[in-house]
Amino acid sequence: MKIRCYVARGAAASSGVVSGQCFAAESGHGGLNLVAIVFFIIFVLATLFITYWASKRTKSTDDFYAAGGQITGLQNGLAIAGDYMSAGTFLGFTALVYSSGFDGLVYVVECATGMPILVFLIASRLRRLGKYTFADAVSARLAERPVRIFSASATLCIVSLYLVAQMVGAGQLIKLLFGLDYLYAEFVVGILMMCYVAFGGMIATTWVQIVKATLLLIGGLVMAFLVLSEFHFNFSELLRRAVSIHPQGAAILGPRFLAKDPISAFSLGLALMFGTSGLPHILMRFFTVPSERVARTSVFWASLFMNLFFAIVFVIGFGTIALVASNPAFLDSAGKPLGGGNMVALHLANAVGGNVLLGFMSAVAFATILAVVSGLTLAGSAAVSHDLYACVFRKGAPDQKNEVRVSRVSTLVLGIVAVMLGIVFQTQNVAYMLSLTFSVACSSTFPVLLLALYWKRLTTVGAVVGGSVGLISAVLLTIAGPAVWVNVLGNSTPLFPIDPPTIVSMPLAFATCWLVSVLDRTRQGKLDRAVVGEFTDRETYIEPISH
Amino acid sequence: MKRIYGLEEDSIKREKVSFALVLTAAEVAMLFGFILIGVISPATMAAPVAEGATVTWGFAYGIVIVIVSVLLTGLYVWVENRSSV
Repeated sequence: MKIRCYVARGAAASSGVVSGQCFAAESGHGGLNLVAIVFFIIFVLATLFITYWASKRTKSTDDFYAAGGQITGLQNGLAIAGDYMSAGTFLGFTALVYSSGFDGLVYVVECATGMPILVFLIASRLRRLGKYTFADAVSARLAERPVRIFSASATLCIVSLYLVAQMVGAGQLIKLLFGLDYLYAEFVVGILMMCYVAFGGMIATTWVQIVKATLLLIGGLVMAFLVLSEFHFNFSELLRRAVSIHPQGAAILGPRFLAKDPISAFSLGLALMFGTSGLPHILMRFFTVPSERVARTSVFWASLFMNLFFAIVFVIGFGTIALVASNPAFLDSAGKPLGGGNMVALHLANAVGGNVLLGFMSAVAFATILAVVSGLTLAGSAAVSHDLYACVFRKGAPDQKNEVRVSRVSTLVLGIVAVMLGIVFQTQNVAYMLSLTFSVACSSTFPVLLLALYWKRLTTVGAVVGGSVGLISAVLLTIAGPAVWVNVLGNSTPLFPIDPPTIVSMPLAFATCWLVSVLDRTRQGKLDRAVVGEFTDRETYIEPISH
Repeated sequence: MKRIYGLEEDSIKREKVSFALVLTAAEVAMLFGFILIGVISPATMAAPVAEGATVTWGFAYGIVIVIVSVLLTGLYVWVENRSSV
């Protein structure tokens, strides 16, 4: 069954999206769903209107990167939750539960722990010390150029991997939902995303996320309510029906894959728990709020909404087993769900809410992709225009108009690159890219950021070398692992058995940062250590100083 | 009065940092406990919570993690926001 490709690779991350292969192997086009198209058009028009409104208000770099710092806690919470709840959470996790029962919920539970860690360790200091990107906070006391070059590279790496996975999934999803050819689907996503970001910047992407998150939550709640009402609001009854239908029976009520590979199980837990704190597009959202207080509040709201949605997946996941797996209307002749395993959540919407709910949730699923892709592109373009252009190339000399112009251009370039990569990777199995982004985030941006915020003896050389070692090891070990070496490249045994490799690459990054900083005898290292004792307490970000 | 880069008076800072660390440790312990039991004894996770019930300990533990994560986040935010700007 196609969805086993998730479990076998231990890949799906919460913001993940349907694997290209999971679709590619199923039959081609879906039918035209008029309701879905109507909802979809309404949504696109609304978001374009938001973008137009946002573009009128986007005049400075403050506006473009950080929405002028005027986003409230609740709004930011919804936007962050929106970034996290993508098509992968709704479609992918539900599909995982459909095929493997409780095993799918293990991913959900692990993802639910990401936000607390973010607020306990990162949120307020990040907000205090940074301006637009997390690289601001890291280079607050270390040398600008090397740190920013490293941070921007890590950001672009993470963003690109994530983008490819989203674009491939988007194309397949649109092809199935709206009957549009993959190529056109890629162009539609690419063009819309470029509009949102290039014209509306952070204001537009934030509001698009807010709208989409609200719709997804409402839709999810309605679905969960309707599913439970089929079973007299008795969760046990729902489970009993699911057990009686699923080929593996009562085994679906407990975790099974954890015991098969304990080290990978812990590695996955690490990745999903700490990876969130290293994702550049999520970290960027902390600068859209006016203060540290609001930054913390926004994480509370985000965790509330996200975990509510995860709880909904508990219900709709098993709901699909109970109501879709047994209904021949949703299955093809071989007993597999029509359109592929990732469509089960939408079939469930159809089963409990008819064509209208199906259309609504299809449009929402598409909206989630657009919103996440926009946030990613903005983070990528900020890395280019703020970190590289403004701070490295122009050494922090204020030049807002040019900086905004560079961001818009880099948005267009990133958009084109994203579409091209989406087309190139069309038939590839890209699910591993999501676990890879979390591993890379855990092993490069997170360690460097955490140490920069808390450890006085971190030096520039230590940060850059440690972060780079983490990044490279995460990438190489993933390629050498079962996800790529076996499943994509077709070899028989993996070179490196742990998937994801976080349990190795993350400690490696921390250890390297520590070791190199402690042994650092360079001039820059001496400067770094001297500076710690001299900086006065900073309430807000100070413009970068070139060393 | 000069203060060190971004850090408050040492004692306040130590309190704040240790509160955050305690909560982090709690969260890690909760999740890794979940994984550990799933690794060592999946049968325990698959066992029903009560005689004849369908809901298993796995579900119970899982939903507890989902709920407690939000509560801990709320606790942290409430405490920190109360005592700072």
